[in-house]
Amino acid sequence: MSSLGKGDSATTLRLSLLGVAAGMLLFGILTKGYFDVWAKAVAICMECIGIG
Amino acid sequence: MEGASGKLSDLKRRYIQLLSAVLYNAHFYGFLTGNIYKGRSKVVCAPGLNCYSCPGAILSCPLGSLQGAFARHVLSVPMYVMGTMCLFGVLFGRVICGFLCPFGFLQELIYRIPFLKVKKSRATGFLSLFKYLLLVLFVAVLPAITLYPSFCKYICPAGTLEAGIPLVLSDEGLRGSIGGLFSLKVFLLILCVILCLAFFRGFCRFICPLGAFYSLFNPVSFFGVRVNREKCTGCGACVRFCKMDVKKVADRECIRCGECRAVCPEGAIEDSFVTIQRPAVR
Repeated sequence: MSSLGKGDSATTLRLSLLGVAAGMLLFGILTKGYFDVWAKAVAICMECIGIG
Repeated sequence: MEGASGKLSDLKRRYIQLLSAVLYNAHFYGFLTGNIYKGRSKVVCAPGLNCYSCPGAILSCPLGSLQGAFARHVLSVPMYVMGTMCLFGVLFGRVICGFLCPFGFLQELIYRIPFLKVKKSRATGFLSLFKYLLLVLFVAVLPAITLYPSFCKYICPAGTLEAGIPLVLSDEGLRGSIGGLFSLKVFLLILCVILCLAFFRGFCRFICPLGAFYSLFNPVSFFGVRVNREKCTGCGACVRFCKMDVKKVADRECIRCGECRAVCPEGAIEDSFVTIQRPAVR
């Protein structure tokens, strides 16, 4: 495979992964997945500080 | 000349690390009152390791959020957190470890303290695989079984340092609640400091599950460093100089700090928007 071919397939892989990641994030936003993060983050995490 | 430019880029990296640590923890008032920030920005995950229970934190810790999501929704993929982390990984890879992680910055400062220094070897290379075990076991499997964030609870020294100690010092109620677990975590924090005194970025190299996660994206991330194959003579100076357990520039252990650029006699290592790997150099 030529170096041009390798570069093309690598770019395709990168763009595919970027699309998958962005899709997951979008799906997470649409299904209000951020609420899980917010609910956990606005209360003191007892496990994190070693008391839970 | 190369040495001077290397120092300049190292200084720039320090400023970026410092700036990111300050921006992640911009709720300065929290350090005085011992109250954590509860604003809307906490729905956003920070790229680096920074405890969301730190009184100054205005963003969420991606690792804590991921464990929390696994614990809440057993046997389902937490799309929001995973999507955020994958996006960071695909775009930046371990550039985040090298530039945008406050705990990584702290480890580098600790390493500057004079102490017995242990150089990288085959043993440290083998130990660097340990973080993948912690990623699977303490971030994915145990939270889904026990329903609590296991890495945060039993290991995370960032949580103890950034949240545990400041909150316990400022809150009398919490002070009365501390027990064996808090003692264990403080002990682990002390061990972590000793580790980081002896090993460059000891926590980052051997323990950090977030670094392990981002390292999976390192070979394909958009931002990074690349080796100009036409200039490279394969002398291996870059790999010998690097303090991380890299086998070649831009592999999974490379944090893209760019320090190797200063030692490359051919000037073959360049910043890149797209990383292109070259054959292994030993």
